[in-house]
Amino acid sequence: MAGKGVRGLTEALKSLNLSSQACREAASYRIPSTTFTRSMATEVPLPKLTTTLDHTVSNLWRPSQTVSVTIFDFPSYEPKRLEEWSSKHLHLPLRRDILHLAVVYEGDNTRQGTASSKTRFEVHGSHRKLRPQKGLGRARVGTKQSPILRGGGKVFGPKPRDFGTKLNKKVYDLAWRTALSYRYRRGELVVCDDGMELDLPEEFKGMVGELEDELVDGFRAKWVKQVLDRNEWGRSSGRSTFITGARRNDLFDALDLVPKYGRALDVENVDVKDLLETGRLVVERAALKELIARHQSDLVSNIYVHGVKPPAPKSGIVVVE
Amino acid sequence: MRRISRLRGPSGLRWSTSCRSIASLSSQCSVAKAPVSICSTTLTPSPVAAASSSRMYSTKPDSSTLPQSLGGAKTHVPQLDIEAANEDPHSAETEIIAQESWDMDAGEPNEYTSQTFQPPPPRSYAERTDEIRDPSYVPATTVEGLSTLGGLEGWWDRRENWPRSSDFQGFIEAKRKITHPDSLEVATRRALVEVLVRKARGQHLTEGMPVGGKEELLRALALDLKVKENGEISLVADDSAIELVAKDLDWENVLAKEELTGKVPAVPTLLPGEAQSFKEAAQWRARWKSASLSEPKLKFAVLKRIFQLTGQRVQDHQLPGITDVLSLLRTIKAPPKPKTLSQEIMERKQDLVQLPNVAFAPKRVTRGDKDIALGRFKIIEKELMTRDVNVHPLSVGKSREQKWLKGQS
Repeated sequence: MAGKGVRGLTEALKSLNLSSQACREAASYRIPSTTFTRSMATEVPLPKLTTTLDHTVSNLWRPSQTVSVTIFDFPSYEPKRLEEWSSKHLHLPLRRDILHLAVVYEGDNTRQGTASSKTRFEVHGSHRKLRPQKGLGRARVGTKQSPILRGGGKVFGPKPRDFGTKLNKKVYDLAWRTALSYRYRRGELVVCDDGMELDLPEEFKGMVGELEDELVDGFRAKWVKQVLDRNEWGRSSGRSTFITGARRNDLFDALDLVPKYGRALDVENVDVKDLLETGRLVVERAALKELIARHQSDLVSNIYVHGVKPPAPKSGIVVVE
Repeated sequence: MRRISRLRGPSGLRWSTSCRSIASLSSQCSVAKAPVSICSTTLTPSPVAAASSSRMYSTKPDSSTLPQSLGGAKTHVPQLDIEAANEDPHSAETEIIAQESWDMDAGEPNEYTSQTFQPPPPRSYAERTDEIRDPSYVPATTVEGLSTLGGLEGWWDRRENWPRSSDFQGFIEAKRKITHPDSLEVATRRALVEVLVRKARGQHLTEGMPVGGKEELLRALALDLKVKENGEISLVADDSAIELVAKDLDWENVLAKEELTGKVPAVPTLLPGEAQSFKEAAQWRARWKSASLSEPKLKFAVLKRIFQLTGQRVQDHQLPGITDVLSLLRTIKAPPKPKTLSQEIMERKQDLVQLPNVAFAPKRVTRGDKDIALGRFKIIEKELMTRDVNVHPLSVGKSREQKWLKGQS
């Protein structure tokens, strides 16, 4: 009995030893194909592997830690620079479940929850008995606030309440970067240089004071339509969401006039749902940095080591200028 | 009997009830301070006027500014005022025509003469009925015969008010995205040559380049390329040829030339047919496609130029996959993904459509479609017409609520 127990223990230890190896090391534990023989005659012999695996650390494939991001000029759409951003910011795998959690969480928390109806105790009026209990040949009734009567109270009606749900911050932050990564990988993330504003022609600016509102709006609408169509951002290309660091009056006002071409949001008003909605995101560089900085709690530890907080992954390093 | 048509009251106008002269009325209006008129002295357009909307991308090496978030001290300044001399020769003519057509109130010189966008003329007001001195005047009682003037609706959609030269011009020079493989190959070759010319001259690679006409295009394509075993690429041409192409890429030179001869229409690349015959005639060395693009700066500059010439943008996530010209061509030549399933079947799976036992319809086949196909709908239509019911097989009548909302019983 004892011998069996000891054998069992050694076996268990052996298996532990194997499984604790990293993948690259496990290769050496494999039985070489030359020594392996098939038990059945009908089976095809194994192909002879002649390739030798190089186990040195430098030769191992590792996914890139950074991704390239082109920074464009706005509204000309001229590529200005190439930058490197952390793949933990813009190249996360798509997790639909996490995006769903985030969108539902946002939806729950944006519900106003002010629907309210009156119960029989809140409906105004006298609580007098409407008619005698007996003798009239009619159904017995109490007060006119009774829920069975027209104008009476509601039995289980809505009352103001909070529909908000909770989501772990790290999950929500991951959803933000997953949404951005999804856009990046589909080529739907256009990062523009700081100071993103719709440049209206100088001649028009000179005319503004003289023109009627109808003409000013008409001009702005036409100009922004031309800009978007030229850059393939407009209605025929599935609208665009413009995200800037702060409200830019010309851009925001112009886009308000042509809602079918796109919408503009400042950093404070963006949600995960907004990131997933239109055909593409046209984001100001500073705004993108801000969005990522606000949503990387799962990457940056709160624990200080030697009095210093561990740094976040670096993004926005200029490669080509 | 003379019928004098009255001008329709503009929407934004506050009509004065007091009986004052027309002149004083018109002076109340803010727009009237700048009446549109024609004046021979004001016809020369100022050179700055049209420049703002012509080229909005950078044309000088020092114009690139780093954003504040990168630590750059300078803030973003839109590069608008660079080519003061870039004036369309036709814009002056258009302007004259536009002004003449709106020469309703010849008086003060026009403030807008130097502008390409044409604002409406100041309002003029019809005489009040009780002030008309013409004894033969009889007020119109019906609308027939009166001329319609129209309002400001669609003002900017008329080309005389918004000339083509004032349209927004972004970085992409191609009017439409170029998709033909031959044209793309020519454009790629051109981009590569031009970037190499800049490199050979020790200039900034990634700055915006002028596009130029066909002459410039052919001059760039005439330069030969040589690729070494390791993929390194270099120009094979004498210095004078390189010098000529370098001149074509020099903004100062191009702008000076434009000032002298007028703007030549940009030719970003050759048309598909031309490109094919050109390629065959040129006999480029086969190995030019194996030229390495591993140097980030070179790759960025080439991609930028291709984007400008063809509108084909290589997405950021595709950048690591582009290591040589061949992979670049493969990426930009790839046809765009079809937007709908029916598009995909019609374009790429014709064998499916042509199967004898398969019927293909781009939209769902409904009950009504079947009725029409069978010819049954004609009978149904007739019967419906006699009963005064909506005729279309699947149409739903307008909702009653719509009527109520409009207050129609």
